[in-house]
This record gives sequence, C-alpha cells and structure tokens, in this order.
Amino acid sequence: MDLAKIAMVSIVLLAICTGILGAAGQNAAGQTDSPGIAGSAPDVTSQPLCNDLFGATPVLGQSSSSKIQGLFGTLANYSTYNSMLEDSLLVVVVAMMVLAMIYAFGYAFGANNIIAMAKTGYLEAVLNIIIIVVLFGGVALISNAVLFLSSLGGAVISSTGVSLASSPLTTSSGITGLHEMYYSICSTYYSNAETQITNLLAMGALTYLDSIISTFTVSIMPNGFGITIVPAGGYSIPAISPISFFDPIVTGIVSMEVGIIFLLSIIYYLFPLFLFLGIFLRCIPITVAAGGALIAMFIGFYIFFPALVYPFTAVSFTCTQQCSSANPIQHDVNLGSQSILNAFPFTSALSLDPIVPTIDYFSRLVAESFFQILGIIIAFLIAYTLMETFADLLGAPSLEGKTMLRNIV
Amino acid sequence: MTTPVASACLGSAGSFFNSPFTDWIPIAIAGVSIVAAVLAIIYIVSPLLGRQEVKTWARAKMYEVFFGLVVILVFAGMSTSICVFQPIQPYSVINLVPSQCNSTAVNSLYGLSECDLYTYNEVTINALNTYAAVFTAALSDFPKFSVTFQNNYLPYGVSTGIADVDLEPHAVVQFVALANTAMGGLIMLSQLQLLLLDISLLIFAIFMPLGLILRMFGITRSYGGTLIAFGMGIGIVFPLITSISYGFIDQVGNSLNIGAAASSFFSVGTLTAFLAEDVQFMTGIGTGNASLILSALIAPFNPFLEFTGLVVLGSLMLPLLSLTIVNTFVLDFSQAVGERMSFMDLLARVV
Repeated sequence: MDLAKIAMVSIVLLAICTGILGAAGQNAAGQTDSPGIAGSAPDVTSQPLCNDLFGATPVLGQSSSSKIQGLFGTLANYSTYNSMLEDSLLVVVVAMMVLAMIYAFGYAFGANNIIAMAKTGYLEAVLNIIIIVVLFGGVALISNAVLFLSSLGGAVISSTGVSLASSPLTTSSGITGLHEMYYSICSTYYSNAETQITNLLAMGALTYLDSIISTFTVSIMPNGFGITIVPAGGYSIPAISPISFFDPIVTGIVSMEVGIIFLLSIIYYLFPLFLFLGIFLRCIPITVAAGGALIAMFIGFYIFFPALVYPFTAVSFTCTQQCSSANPIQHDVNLGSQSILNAFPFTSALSLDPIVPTIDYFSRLVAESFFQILGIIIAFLIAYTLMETFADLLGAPSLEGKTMLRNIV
Repeated sequence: MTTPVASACLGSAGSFFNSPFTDWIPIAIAGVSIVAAVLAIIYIVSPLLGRQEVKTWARAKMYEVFFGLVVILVFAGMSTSICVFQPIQPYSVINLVPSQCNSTAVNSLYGLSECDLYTYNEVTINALNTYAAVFTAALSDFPKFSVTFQNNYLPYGVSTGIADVDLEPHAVVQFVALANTAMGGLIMLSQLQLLLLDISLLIFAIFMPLGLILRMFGITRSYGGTLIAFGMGIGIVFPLITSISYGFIDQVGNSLNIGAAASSFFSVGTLTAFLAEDVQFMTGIGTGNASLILSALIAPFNPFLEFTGLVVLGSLMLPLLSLTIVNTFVLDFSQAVGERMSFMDLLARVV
C-alpha cells in the first residue's frame, strides 16, 4: 500500500513539474533580453586572452576565433548531453527494477532493513527522475537564473550608494547572456591586471625621476680643485615609499585575477559535463554520493559563483580629490623636464600637486582591486558553502531519516 | 610516456585473484564462512534455549553477511571495470586528451590522470625556468648612465651633472621576482599532488579490500564502510577529476603556446624594442604617444600574465577544488556506509 501511494504521488508530481517547467522553458527560449545591470554603453574593449578563452561576441562586432571555444564549445552546449540524460533515465528504470526484486527478497525473508533500504532506494530513483525531467524542460533556465542572481547582486550594491559603471559588453538593457557575462568578467580582470602592470612601469618613471634628482651634482672646481655638492642627495619622492609597499600586494592581486579568468573558463566549459555526469552517476545506487557531489559543484560554482562575482566587477571608483582621469604619473612623465622642475625641492613651483593625485590614483586603483578580490572571496565562500549544502542534500544520505527532501518526495 | 601504473592497476584489481592484494579475498571468504557458521549455530541453538528473539537476530545478521559478500563481488567488478576502462577514445571525443598523452601506453584512467598532471608540471616548470633565466638576464642588466655638463664659459670651473641613473624598472622587476618565487612554490605543491595521485592506486588497492572485510563483522562494520569510502574517494574520484581538469588545462596551455611563448619572451629584438620604448617613456623624449608607448611596453608581459594565471589555476585552485570534491564524496559516502569521515579534516590534522 505504501508503495502504491508513493507511486501515485510521484506520477502527480511528475505531471505537475513537467507542465510548469515545460511552459517556463518555452518562455525562456523565446526570451531574448533578461534583466541585467543597467548602464550606458561605454567604449568596447576586447582582450586577446578573453577572445581565446571565450570567443569574441557578436556585441563586439567580431567574428569568433577562439581556440578554446573550438576545442570545448560542444561541452558548454547543453544539447550535447541529451543522450546522457536518456541513458540516465534508462539506468533509473533498471535500478527501480533491481530494487523491486530486492524488496521482494526482503519481504519474502522478513528482512526489514533490506525492505527499508529498497524503499529508500526507490525514493532516490523517483528523485532522480524528477531531476532529469527538470533538466530536460528547464535547462535554459540555468542561464537566466545566473543572470537573475547577478541582477540581484547588482541591485544590492547599487542600494548602498556605490555607482555601477558599465562593463564593456553591457547594452542599455544590460547583459543579455551567460557568455557575455563570462567575457565581461574576464575582460575586467585582465584589464585590471594590465593596468597594474602599467602602473608598475609608470612607477619606474617615478624612480627614474627620483634617481635624477638625488644624483644631481654641482661641482665648483676653480683650477681643478674644489668641492662637489649634491644638493638633493637625500631626497626621495615621498610617493615612492607608500606605492612600493603595494608591490607584493599588486603581485598577489594580478596573479589572483588572471587565475580567476582561467578558473571561469573551466567552469564555463567543464562544469556542464560535471552536471550531466553527476546525474548519470547519481542514478547508479553505488555512486549516488559521487553524483551528488558533482551536481552540487555545478550548482555552487556554475550558477552562484559568476553571478556573485559579476556585480563586483561592475563597480567603479571615482576620483575623490584633485586627480584627473588620466594617469597622473604618466601625465607627469610626459611633461619631461618640467616634471623634474616641479619635483625639485628648491623651486617655488614645487607643491604637492604631482604627489597627491599620484597617491590618490594609486590608492583608488588598489582599492578597486581590493574590492574585486573581496568580491571573489565572498563569491567563493558562498559558492563553497552552497556546494556542501547541496552535496549533503543530494548525496548518499539524502533521503534517510526525517530529511526535508524525504518530506518533499 | 610509459605508465607502469596501468599494469599495476590491472595486476591488483583486474586479476583480482592473483595479485598480492587479493590475499584478502581468501581471508574475506574465510571470514564470511566463519561468521555464517557461528550465526548458523546460534540460529539452531537459540530455540532450544527458548530465545526466539536471538533466532530472529541471527537470521537478520545472516542476510547482512551474505549481502556483504555480494558487496565484495560488486566492488570487485567495479574496480576491474575501472582498471580495464580505456579512456583515450571517449576523452578524445571531447578533446580532453593533450597531444603529449595521446599514446597507446596510456591505457587506464590512472595512466591518463598521471600523464595529464605530469605534462602540466613539466610545461610549467620548463616555462618558469625560461622566464626566470630571461628576466635575470634581461631585466637585471639594464644600463646606467651618467651625464656631465661642463661649460668653459661658466666661472670657477662650475659643472653640473647626474650620475648612475638607472633605467631599470624596479617595480616591474620586483613584481616579476615575486611572481616567479610564488609560482615556484605553487609548482612544488603540484608535484606533491602528483605524488598523491601516484599512491592513489595503492590506497585504493589496500583500503577497499580491508574495508570490505571489516564491514562484514558487526563490531567493525562502520569503520569498514569508512575505509571503503576513503578508498573510493582517493582511488577513483580523485583520478577521475584530475584526468578531466588537467586534460583541459593541458589543452589550454597547448593552444596558448605557453612553452613557446616563454622561449620567445624577451628575445634580442623584443628587448631592444622594449629598451627604446622604455627610454621614451622614462624621459618623455620622443614624439610617441604615451598610451601607445605604454601598450608597447606591456605587450611583452602578456604571455607572462597568461602563464601566471595558468599556474595559479593549476597549482592552487584546481587542487583545492579536487580535494573539496573528494572530501564531499568521502563525507557523504562514509556516512552512508559507515562512520561519517571528513578527509580534509583528517588531512589538516595530519599536516
């Protein structure tokens, strides 16, 4: 009797889920724009590395020439895994038949623990069918879920008063696809990394100026004998020390940002494979835990991680003091000799003007990088915690005892 | 690349009855027989003593013992399947086999995962050595110059000048030095990961049979289940994840020409051009646009940035991700078949 009730409830649930998700899938398939982070269209920049990893997008007006997309593009396409879903359904049906035989064996010999195991296994099989049906009907919802979560994140950040600049690929209606989101994050991080390297090079210009000033000598040698004065021998441009302090930090930030770019490429191409492989493994009674772990990893890192990282990449910091939009170090260097005179301590033209915008620019840039690293850390922690939670939910003991999932099923 | 691992894998599990590890099979069968015999005696004697509940208990335990025997056969079949599985063809369909591992010598999942990780370590170590040598030679030997201005018309023999001005971009040199040092440490960690992968087969071959045998006895059932989960996690899940993820990284590295980029980095022509741009940038002399000069200065560093990202991913992020997946699997599976055990907690305590 219990099995009959469970079977009836399962059939009703399947019918309801299929109807709802099928309608939602059709709506999602027809939808071209999704709510995103609004912003004005800025200058479009493309990065060669991002082009290689993710492929240029039609928004840039470029044809895709991605090497990696050519190799692994099929992995990122959900339609590739239709046959795997069908195989998973077949495995579930076979597992249910085996469980029925085990149940009969346990019933015949009065082994209550075997009967309980068979019942739990049957519920697991029903859950697997639900998961497969949901994926068949709602795989397009995954992209929209990611975009929706990123919009939520952007709204939260906007509500704090922080301005959201536009990323290179936003249009007036925002990010329109998952691929654009990944490309946008890649482009932002790589631009930041290049900017940090640029500023390190510009830092070299400050050191060069410092060297010129501090080694400036005046020799007074009438008749070949006299004195040599180094009037600024102990001088050092004040900005150099605090900026030098950031060098190891810049190294870490740059390395982390470029590493995240490659991590995103793995997430984009390989994690759909992990999802469908996890579903297949979850249908086999022995490998339920492995399948649950892979599905949980997909949910945590494919859905939540980029959705939480993207709003942080869209934040820009504005100048607070007398800095200009241009790199003040570059501006100073281009002045050539006038820069030297401006920095010379004994001229009346000396002021802190070249120094303050320099420090302000550097602190703004480092603060922006810190903010993005903070976003990465927050996103990673949340994704990891969600992965563990879903792994416990979908793993081996998912339907034992009075768990929430058991009550639902 | 030769892979003795494959033959060892087959030796230990494919012919499960012939390798040293399968000494456990006769022990397991003996254990099953002894336990079954004891339970049969209890089953027969208990009604005579008027203890019907003991008879019921003995019958239930008998079913568990025979079920344990079935589990042994199931895991034996699974481990045989893993070892005879030829990964090259299915992995090639999805382009997860790098050219360095596309060989008939790679004939098992363990062999492929070892080859993938070994290839990654080789490429990154060679590239790091090249970058370190180039940077040491190129960026550390920047010229210095001195300028003296002497005008005979100035009184008292006055002359001015600047001395030993260094054109070396100190901040960039420091960045590169720090990055090289950090990457050297990360690649060393990756070598440790290769070591763990090498012993994964040993862990699988020892822990699995041990756990299956211990699971048959009531006292050690939960501990045996934990060993089974640990053996499966390290022995199957870890190589599986490694073969997929490092196959991808190796293909990305081959596509981006990481090794070739390191060799051509800062060639004589590039270095000369870099110096010329550097002088323009530092002195403000020249008619070049500052933005273009900066773009030209940063262009040689793009391959180094890509290499840095690849090393951070492969030597830091992916090992953490792989161990997290193994830990999640071991946590869930051990809870299902025995005592709940966290592999990462165990590793942290050991470290």
